[in-house]
Amino acid sequence: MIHKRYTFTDKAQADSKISKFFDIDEEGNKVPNERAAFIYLDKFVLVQGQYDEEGDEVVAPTYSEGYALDVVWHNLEESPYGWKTYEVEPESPCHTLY
Amino acid sequence: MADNLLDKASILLTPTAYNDGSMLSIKPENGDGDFDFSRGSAATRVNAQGLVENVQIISSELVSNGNFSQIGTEEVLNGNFSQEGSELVTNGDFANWTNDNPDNYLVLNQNANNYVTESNGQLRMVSDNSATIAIRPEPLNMLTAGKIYKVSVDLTFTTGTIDISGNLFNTSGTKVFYLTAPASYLQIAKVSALDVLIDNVSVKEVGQNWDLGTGWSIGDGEAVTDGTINKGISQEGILTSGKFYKISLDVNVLSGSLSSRLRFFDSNSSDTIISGITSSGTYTFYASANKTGLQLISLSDNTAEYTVTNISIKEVGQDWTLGTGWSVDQANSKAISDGTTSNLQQFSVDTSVVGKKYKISLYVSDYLSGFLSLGVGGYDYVSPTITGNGEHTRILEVTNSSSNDRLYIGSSSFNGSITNISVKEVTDDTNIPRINYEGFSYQDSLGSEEVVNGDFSNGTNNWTPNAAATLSIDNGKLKVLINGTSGYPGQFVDTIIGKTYKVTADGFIGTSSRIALYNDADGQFRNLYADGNFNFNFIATSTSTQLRLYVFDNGAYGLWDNVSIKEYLGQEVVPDSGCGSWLLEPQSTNLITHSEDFSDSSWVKKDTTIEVANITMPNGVINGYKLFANTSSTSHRMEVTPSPTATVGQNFTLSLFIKSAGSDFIQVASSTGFNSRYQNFNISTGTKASGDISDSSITDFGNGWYRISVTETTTGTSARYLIIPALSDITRNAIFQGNANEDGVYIWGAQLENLPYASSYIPTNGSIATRLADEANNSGNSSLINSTEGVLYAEIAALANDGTFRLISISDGTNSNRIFLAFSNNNNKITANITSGGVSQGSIHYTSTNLLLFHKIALKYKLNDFQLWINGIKVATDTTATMPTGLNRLNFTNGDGVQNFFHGKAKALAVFPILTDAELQSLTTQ
Repeated sequence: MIHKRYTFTDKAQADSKISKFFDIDEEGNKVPNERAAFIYLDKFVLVQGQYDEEGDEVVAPTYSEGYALDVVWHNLEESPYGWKTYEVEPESPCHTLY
Repeated sequence: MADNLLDKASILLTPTAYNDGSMLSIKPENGDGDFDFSRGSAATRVNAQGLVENVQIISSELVSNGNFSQIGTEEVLNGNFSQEGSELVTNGDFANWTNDNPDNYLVLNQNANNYVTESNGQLRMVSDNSATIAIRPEPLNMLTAGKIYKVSVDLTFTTGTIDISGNLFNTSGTKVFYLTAPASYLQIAKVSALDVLIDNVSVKEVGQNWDLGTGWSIGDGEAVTDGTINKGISQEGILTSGKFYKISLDVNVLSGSLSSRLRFFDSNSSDTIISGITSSGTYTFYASANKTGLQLISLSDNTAEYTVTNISIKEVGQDWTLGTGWSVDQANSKAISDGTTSNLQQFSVDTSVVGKKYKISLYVSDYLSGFLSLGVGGYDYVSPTITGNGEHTRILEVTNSSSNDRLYIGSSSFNGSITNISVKEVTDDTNIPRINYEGFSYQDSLGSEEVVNGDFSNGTNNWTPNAAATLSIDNGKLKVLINGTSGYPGQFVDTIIGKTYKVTADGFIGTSSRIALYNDADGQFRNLYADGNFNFNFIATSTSTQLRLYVFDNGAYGLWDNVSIKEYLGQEVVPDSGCGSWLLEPQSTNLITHSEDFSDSSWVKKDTTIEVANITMPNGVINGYKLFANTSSTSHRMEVTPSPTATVGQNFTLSLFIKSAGSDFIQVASSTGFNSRYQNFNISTGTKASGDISDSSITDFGNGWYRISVTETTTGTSARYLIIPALSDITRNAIFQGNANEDGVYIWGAQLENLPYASSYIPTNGSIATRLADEANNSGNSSLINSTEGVLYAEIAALANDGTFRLISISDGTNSNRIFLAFSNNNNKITANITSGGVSQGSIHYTSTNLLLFHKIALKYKLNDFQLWINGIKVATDTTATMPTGLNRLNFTNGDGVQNFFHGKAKALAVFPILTDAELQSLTTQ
């Protein structure tokens, strides 16, 4: 089992990538063909924001660009074909698998 | 489930047993009914004791002597000075003689008037004082000059005085004395004209292992000094420099003024003071040795004669390396730091592998100042640092390679004590199923008994009657006889102002018309007009509260028993009173990075304050936080920043564990990214108060703790919730004046997740965390599942109406031949379906009033006879159904085992052969 983070251009691209790991059966059901857990992160914080005593934002946090996913590949040792390009390794991943 | 039906089930799963990777069925016993289970991450559950518990795989304890109670073997030899050497004298009883000379003795200066002779088995020594007749036991080098010996001899004098190596005796009897040997032999000689019988001469070495300075000698089980200054007793070569020892000894001053010192000793170098000793007593010291020896020495201003015994040195703090300022109190099982900045370390704790995760916990007491940092290896620290009393737990993941296998506890001016230090490896990648408990019964949590002799087992003691009452004991009860309108016995008990106390008592009316229990805290008379019980609470208004047991009517009597007052601490779970069910949940992420550490900067406080609280949290650990509003007249809130990003139309649920810390209310308000709404919760009554958030809940977790949750749908691109420590049922984010830490709430276990309900708690400590989905399938085989007819039974509840299909099926491994029952994507709808050869034979449905409650559901399948039974009622039928073929597995999923996972709670799942309507009704009713 490996845990990787990816950043795609947008959610549509992420969904498109994810859809490759599902087949559609005769009833229209999505059937996974690879055991994986897809964790939708969207943006993640690269630099924490700053806030005043009222709790209002003074400096906005810096978010990652694009659309981020964390994926647990249960049966793979490295990213599948077509995903390696989108791998990112932030210094502070800010996400753990509990 | 009806007991007689159990035998008919071919597969029966109840929340009973599991292994890592499987849910174990009750039937069949050969394991063919067991489910494969996977999740691939840790998870929490509520255990049978009502505590939130992690089901991660936890290793055995990696720390040795974590509570500092270990104590080593005795390092001091002959510490009580009772050791005696072997007998040195041969023929001490003078049994053997040769030519009227005792064997094994040298006889000196013997002549006609000065001689020894045998006399009835004794030695007779006679002298006219003309020569110094003497005897010396052989060998003549049996003693070592300067060593101490215990000498014993029987003397029967006719006349004269005898000298035994410098000790003179002239009276008969058994003489026992300690001799510091002046020479290598013992000599018994005449002093004057003499006629004495000598018998049973014994000489044994004592004071072994000790070096005795001038003035020191050995007494009966003790060392004695005449007070000679700058002289002591010592042992060397018994300690290891650097190790920590518990040292104890008994000192008794015979006369004079004692001034002595205990110190680590090395005859070849300077010494290290452990402590001064200036009076009689039993002393215990803890110290780190920097010499191999120990010495007790009389100082230059000492004038005392004194004894010492029971000297003991044992190693403590084993396995720990103590930095400067750290010490070990073995007797009280703790390590103490005096405020010096240095480390307490334990090496050989296997913590050097990058990627491994460890749970580190310890208990702090006597905290005064400073903080502790926890770490492993060479570089890895865990935050936050530790301040304050209570139990502290941190999870640390090793990120830096290091050759150091160690745990270090760094003191930054930490002044306090620690114990119960634990390090356990946590393995997250677990596939442990969860049996979750709920529906607990609760009971009062009470303090200790404040009433003395409330059961009257000690007669009428501790109860003071007023002038109208006469007290006696009648069959173990207190009998109160009245001479007047009313009378009472009373008792004052210690109480703390503001605390709540529970009063219980048994009252018996006797011949009176009324009895009453009165307390001067609330001033109320609580009456009984027949035999009965009292059970009420009062809030103390004084440090002493009087209880009076009133009886009324002149000449009448009443009786009392089992009078009790205990502090009322709240409600607690009755252990094992809950009902367990399998908990199968979808994947979820806690978007809050510090779910338990509200002091972290990610929690922004606006006119609110967080302070550490010494309170038992829902996971059973003592440590927590109190949130309260400051005294400004303004709005008050705490929130997590930055708010998670979102897209329009997503459900986000915020959940918190809350307990009253003076305030009965807490508000959660939806803010940026949501419609502005709020929900108040009354955490005194465990109910929702005012608010306009439509989806919220409050659940009792016992001991005053509640888990509250609110769910809102985003209208913007963030999910911002405000937590407001309200003091009353206020409007949304209202302005009010707090009263600082006088009233607030205890808070724990915050969770924000992108789900329309609160799933089981996911702890976080520095980053968001994801619990993966529970998956259970692949139970049974074709011999256990009949394809042509049978019954699929389940007792299940939904987690929410979440808009998804959640299936339990029997199938051939595909969706083409299957029978399933499901929670529908429509709210509160239960659906059943048969598919045969890829053709749906039709679905039947039932809409419940509340799918979150447990339903007993039976699905009967037979050619053209498809029935859905729920809670004792046949709710739907289909009479045109062809049966599937090849059914050979039971899944908590669709027939293919990979989609439409069942997410919910299950108390039972079973496969039966065909059952009658009566049996189906019974099965789904009982």
